[in-house]
Amino acid sequence: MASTKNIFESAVDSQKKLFDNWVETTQSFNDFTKSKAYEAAPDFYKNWLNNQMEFAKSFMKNTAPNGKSANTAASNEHFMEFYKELVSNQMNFFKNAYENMQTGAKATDFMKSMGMNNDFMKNMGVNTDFMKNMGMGMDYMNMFNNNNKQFENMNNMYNSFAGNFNKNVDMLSEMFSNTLTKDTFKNLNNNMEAYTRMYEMWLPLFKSMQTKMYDADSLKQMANPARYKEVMDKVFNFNTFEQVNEFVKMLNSTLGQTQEQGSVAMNDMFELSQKNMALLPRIMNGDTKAVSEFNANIAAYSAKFNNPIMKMFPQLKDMDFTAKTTEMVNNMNKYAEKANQMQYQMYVTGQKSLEKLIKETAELAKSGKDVSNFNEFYQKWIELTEKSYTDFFKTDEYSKLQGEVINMGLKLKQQVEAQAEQLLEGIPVAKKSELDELYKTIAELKRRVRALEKPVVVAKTPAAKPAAKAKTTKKAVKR
Amino acid sequence: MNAVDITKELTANTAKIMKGFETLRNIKEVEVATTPKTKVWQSDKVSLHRYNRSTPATCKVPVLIVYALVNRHDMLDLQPDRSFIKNLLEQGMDLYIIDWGYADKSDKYLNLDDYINGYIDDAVDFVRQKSGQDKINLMSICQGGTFSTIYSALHPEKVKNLITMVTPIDFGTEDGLLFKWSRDMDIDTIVDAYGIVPGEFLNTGFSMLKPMMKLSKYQGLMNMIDDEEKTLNFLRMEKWIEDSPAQAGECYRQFLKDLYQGNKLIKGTLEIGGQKVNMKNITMPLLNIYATEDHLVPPSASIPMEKYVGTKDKTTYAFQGGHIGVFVGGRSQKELAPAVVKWLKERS
Repeated sequence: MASTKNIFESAVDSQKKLFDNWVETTQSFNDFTKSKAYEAAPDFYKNWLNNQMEFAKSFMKNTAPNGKSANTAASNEHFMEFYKELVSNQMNFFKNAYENMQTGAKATDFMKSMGMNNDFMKNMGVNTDFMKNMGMGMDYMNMFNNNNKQFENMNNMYNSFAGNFNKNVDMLSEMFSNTLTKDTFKNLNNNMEAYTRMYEMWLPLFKSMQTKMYDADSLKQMANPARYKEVMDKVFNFNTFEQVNEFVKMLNSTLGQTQEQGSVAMNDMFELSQKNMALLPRIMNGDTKAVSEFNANIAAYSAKFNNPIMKMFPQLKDMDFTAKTTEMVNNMNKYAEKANQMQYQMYVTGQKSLEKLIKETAELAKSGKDVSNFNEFYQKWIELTEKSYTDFFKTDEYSKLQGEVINMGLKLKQQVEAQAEQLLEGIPVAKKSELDELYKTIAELKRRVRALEKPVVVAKTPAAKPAAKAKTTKKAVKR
Repeated sequence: MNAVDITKELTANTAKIMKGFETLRNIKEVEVATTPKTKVWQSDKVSLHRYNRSTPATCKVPVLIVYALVNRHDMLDLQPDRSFIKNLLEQGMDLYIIDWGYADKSDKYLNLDDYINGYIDDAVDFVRQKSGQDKINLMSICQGGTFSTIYSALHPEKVKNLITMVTPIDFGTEDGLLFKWSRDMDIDTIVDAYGIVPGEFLNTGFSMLKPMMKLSKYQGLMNMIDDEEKTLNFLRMEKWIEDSPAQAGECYRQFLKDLYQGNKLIKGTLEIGGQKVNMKNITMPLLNIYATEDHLVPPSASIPMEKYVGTKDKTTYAFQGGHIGVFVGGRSQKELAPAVVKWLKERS
């Protein structure tokens, strides 16, 4: 266990050193050593540290000493790498979080020194406009903005931490031998991301309600639509920028290969990819016209681009093939538009449920109910969104749209396969349509064999007596 | 609500994820359908299994279980402490089950006749011959129930008692999204494009019936991730959900067009293997079980069965729960399984 123990001990030692340094640093903030924020933070961190150590120990106890197997040694190394990075990330996060707490504590301190505690503000029925008019507004607004900034800073820090964490999650995912548990772990992490995104959206809304801003329309403006879209993308696995980027990368990679043939068409192809890359920001904003332009650019090029390939496959000189390819690209264009329409409707429906939730929460807050519990907000969001979507899915509009999208997508699939079959014409491989004919023949033959075998089997079965007449009524049958 | 609370909240989630990693990594294998059984017959990819018994059955007429083609019959035996199969065995039933296997492209031309008058009839004849009984009991689930209903109408002389569970019979209902959506789908394009309709395609449709379910259930998992047993039960369900075989194209085409879109069964215009299916020929005792909160097969699709069958001995049983709860819920173990056995024993 020598090598693993050393790695473990050095990780723990480095943590302890960091912790000791951090405690020393924070203790220098003597003004706030007796405040609630300061007292809570170190204890909280101590608990976290203990949990981390326990987790690491329990992970290590099952690993072989000195790496019995390559996998164990590799996974130990993997884990320690992740663990060090996690510790380092969390240390930075806590350090920054604590510094941020000081800002918040300063703001709270200012209010206290002005005699403006929560009860005072409540009793005065103070809102931001009133404070502004009283000439105290700027300081109060600064405090308010500081607190909002504090929340924003916290979110940004956490996002940065979460971003690094997610990379580590991918690494951790590779350590599962079971696909089911691996996928479950990834889904767990995805769920947490959606939860965190909603949390980020909820924080400024909650803070505003604490300052007695109950106007639902204003609150709706504060809900970050871009953030909410990310949540929807996570929930429904919609096309993301990364997926579109992958497609363009693939296109460029294909261009790179074709360039080796020295085709003049390559210049046009690069020009095409640049035009289409420029359209991506509009596409990601849901601009369906941009999607049409994207595919129209490909369609416009396709006839010219076919030229080098046509030399390889004689049948490609057939204008019919070219015409069919162009038709296919046009259909891809139409399909993308229809699919985008459906995706857009999904976003709009999701947005409506969020707005309804904000309105209901604001009304509760206005009536004096406690709305500080995010979990309740999140559960309510899930319920309202489920109902929103179910109601939308029940409409004829959605049913027809879904039917159209499925139909167009599958017809496109058929076209692609038909084109692929035409390409394979001169090549000695069995085509899909030929195999289909074979399967059909086999199915028919099996039916005939069953039909012939059945009477033979029945005749040979001694227990198969003629069936007795089934009783249809419990009463005696009158004759 | 202050920065400390926010920090605690956000980092608590991270701690849960790490705990999740530990728990999930400790789980090497997720087993379902562990009740022992023996394969007794096979035809193409379809096989018949008999559940092992340590003591003789107390009900002499065996039960043949016919599950749907969609998803796997493992649902009936998902976890050892909530196994519908195990419960029936312990109450003295002699159980057989059809395993439909996994259809591939070579199966794309299998149709309803092949499944009903072919595989089901062959399995029924095998069980009849093995048990020495002229007629056997049929217990059927969901689409398997529709198949068994058709089978019983075509071969009443071979069926002693018919049990249908969460079975769609009247496809003309306005309840249930699947019934609505199917009317706007071009089934011919789906089948012609796919050949065999992928399980993923069906699963996407099922998951859209409750669009926030995934988020909700993983949120639930986050809160119980430190309990290995509960996590294992969660994983068993996930395993079953993901294990979705493809559907033979022609069978899917007929099922969707003739039943979902045409509602031919209750109209009396359904033809299988050249024979008209007349539900009045269902003259054996019938136990029709439906789930009151079923979002996949709404009650209005199951309940009408009693109007169309010929038998006078018919019972419609309302189970409080959902489509899956009928088999895996605690109430299913305590209430439903004993009720089924009692009903069968009175008539076998």
